[in-house]
Amino acid sequence: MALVLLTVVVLLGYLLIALEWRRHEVGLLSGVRRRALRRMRYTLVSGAVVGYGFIPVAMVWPGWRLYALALVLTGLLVWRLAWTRRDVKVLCRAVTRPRNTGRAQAAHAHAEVQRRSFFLNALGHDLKNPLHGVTLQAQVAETCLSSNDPDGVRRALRLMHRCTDEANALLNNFLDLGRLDCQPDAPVMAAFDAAEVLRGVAESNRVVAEQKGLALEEEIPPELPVLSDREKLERIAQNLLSNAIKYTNTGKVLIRGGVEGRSLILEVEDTGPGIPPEAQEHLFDAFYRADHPGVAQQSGYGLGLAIVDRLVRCLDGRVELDSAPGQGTRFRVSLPAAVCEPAT
Amino acid sequence: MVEDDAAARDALQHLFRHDGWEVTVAANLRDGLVALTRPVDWVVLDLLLPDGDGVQVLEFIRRKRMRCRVAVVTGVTDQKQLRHVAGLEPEVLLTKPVDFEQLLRIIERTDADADGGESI
Repeated sequence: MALVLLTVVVLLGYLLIALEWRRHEVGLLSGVRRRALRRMRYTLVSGAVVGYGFIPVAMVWPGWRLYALALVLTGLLVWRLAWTRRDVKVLCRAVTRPRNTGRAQAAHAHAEVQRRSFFLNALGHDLKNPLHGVTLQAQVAETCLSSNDPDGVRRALRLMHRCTDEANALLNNFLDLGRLDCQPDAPVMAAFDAAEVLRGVAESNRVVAEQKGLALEEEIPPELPVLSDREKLERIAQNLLSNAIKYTNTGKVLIRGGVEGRSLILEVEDTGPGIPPEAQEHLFDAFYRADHPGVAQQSGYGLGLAIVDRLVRCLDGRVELDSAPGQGTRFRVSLPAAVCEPAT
Repeated sequence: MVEDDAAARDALQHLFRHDGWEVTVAANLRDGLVALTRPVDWVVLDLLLPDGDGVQVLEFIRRKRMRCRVAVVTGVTDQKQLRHVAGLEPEVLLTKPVDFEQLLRIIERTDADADGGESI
């Protein structure tokens, strides 16, 4: 009995190693799976301690069968306390994910085509919207001109300008992504104050957040001297923050900057609808847009995060996601060896 | 009028009012459904809204057998989705960008046809 349990513990150990390997291969680890792995680690450590403790006890104590019973009970207790059904489901899905067989590849290609088609439809919709706005506002300007209303004309022109800006930003994102995929820019490293950059990004998003009734909070130290690529950092923070604001309808959005070791840490947290585990795996794919209730098919989802992913990789950094439906989302970017020694 | 894009909403509201219509605007699905508690003649409806699919407004109108007419004005290009919307028989289905004069002409013609039909 004890031997069986020990074998189970060893097999679980191999499974854990496989999952850790998978985690490195995928590069992004969702909060759900990370928590499941942590619980699994606790289970294994407790199991191994109790299991291997059995060997010396059996040698000196003939009544070891009682100990075996205690072992089983402990095992059950650990299992019950440490694992939830959801963890088991998440881990099972990670282990039984389709391998690179022909059928899996065909399914993957089909999914990619579908995502692309969905993306092109979304891009079409997103471009038609500002175009529609410009067309109608031009007609408003005409009626204002004929009724001698210069303020109305000015207002219409301002709105037309906003529409063209929107279309321009969308096209720029699209082109940037294509460029980053084909030939990523080499990082342009320079010393600068990241706190100033992050505060600037927060300020530029404040009006939009306030228009949506969201609180935009900053947790940024007075100074964050770093050696990194200023433009890329700004773009990463901008995309994460504007994305958080876009998908959060009530509550707050928080941008946080800090240092961990010699890494620069950037976190963006929101109280939005959260991202389901199955969508988290694809979130950084170029043509993916999560469908979550309450924020049906909004614009631009596929591009912003895909660009973040490529820029972070370009800076040898890492982006992690912690999210669950109904519990908001937290993106954490860490850029290694970016922090300068404070000037003395 | 249910439309989430501020520029389009503002323009349509201005143009309809300029033409003598009384307009109630909603920027999302929830406000759109609330606005339908008052009697209206026409609903100008966008489909992709921040808190859901505008089709729900159309389905609500059909389910409740409301007398108002619906003009769907959408940027959606997905044929499957458009076929689904067409199946709910909105009086008008146009894809963006829409010329206001054209929209108004179609609305007035639909009204004239329907009123003509009723008088016969």
